[in-house]
Amino acid sequence: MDSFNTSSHISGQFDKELESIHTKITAMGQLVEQQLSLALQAFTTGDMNLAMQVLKQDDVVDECESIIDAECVSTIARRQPTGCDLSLLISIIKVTNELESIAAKAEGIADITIQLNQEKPA
Amino acid sequence: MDNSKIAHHISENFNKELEDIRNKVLAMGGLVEEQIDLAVKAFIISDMELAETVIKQDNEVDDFEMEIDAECTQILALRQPAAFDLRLLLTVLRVITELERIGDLAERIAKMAIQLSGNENKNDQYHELKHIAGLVKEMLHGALDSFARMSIDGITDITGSDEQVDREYASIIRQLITQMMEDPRNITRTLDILWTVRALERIGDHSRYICEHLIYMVKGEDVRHLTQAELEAKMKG
Repeated sequence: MDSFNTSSHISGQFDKELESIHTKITAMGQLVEQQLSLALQAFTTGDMNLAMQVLKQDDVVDECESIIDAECVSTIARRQPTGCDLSLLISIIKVTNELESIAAKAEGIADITIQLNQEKPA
Repeated sequence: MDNSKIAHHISENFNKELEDIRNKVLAMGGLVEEQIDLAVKAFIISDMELAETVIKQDNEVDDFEMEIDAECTQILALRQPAAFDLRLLLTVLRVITELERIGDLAERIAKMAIQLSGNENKNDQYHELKHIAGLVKEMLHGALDSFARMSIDGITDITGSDEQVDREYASIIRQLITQMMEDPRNITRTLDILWTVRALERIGDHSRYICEHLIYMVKGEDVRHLTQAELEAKMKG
């Protein structure tokens, strides 16, 4: 991935750090995508188990956000990047925040699924 | 204002830059507070002009966000700050995102006010709405005050208010549902009230997030996603 530019530093360790963050945010993005489709599926089919699964997985998303955030901050503090590396790290912090908001919305859909199910007349 | 946390650098310029950013965040916060105030007022007395003002102010809020964002990034690149200074700048980046979202919510309330204004049936049920609006305004004000002081004393009181906001929100929703069942002719306008109450509840959430960011700034600990009880325990320990 060209734009990520993770293999052009003199410090190979820095490259590795950026790569590790890159892998993690990709994984987080996939998880959030999955959360959204599971939540929608749970809602449309009224599947309680699926809705529960979405609620459970939200903790994993939160954890992803905290871990990626911490890695970005520590990279900024130790490596003192400038230019595109700095913009990249700041953008990642913002992107994880958006991803977390999306996951929270998916969780909301799962919540509503469970509520609707409980209110359903027997 | 207590400047001990940001005015201790050898470089006078750096002190000034940080102070400048803090002042801008506070100005932006003040503007957003005004937006909530005006939006709720516009909604209650259906004042179109007031609602339009809120919508216009949103551009100013967006400009603030972009400007502060650019300044923070520049300082991060030029000064390469560490420890508290670094956390301060990262926190500012997060706080202005929350403020911008609160501004959007205020704008949404203003748009509801405009939609509702054509409606003849005046609702006398604004008492609860005013109350929840008062609560979230207090939360935001407390959060901005904490930021101005750069201190997190008593911050759990503010985050605790969010639980009260959520309870009141749930009770207003129940009430509105009852109203819709009793008088189906009013469903459209009751729904508009519902969206407004929902926007206020979200403002409470974002104010809570600001507090969590401030705790990170001062203590360096990530306290997001904790329950109120967990948060209180952590702040005591």
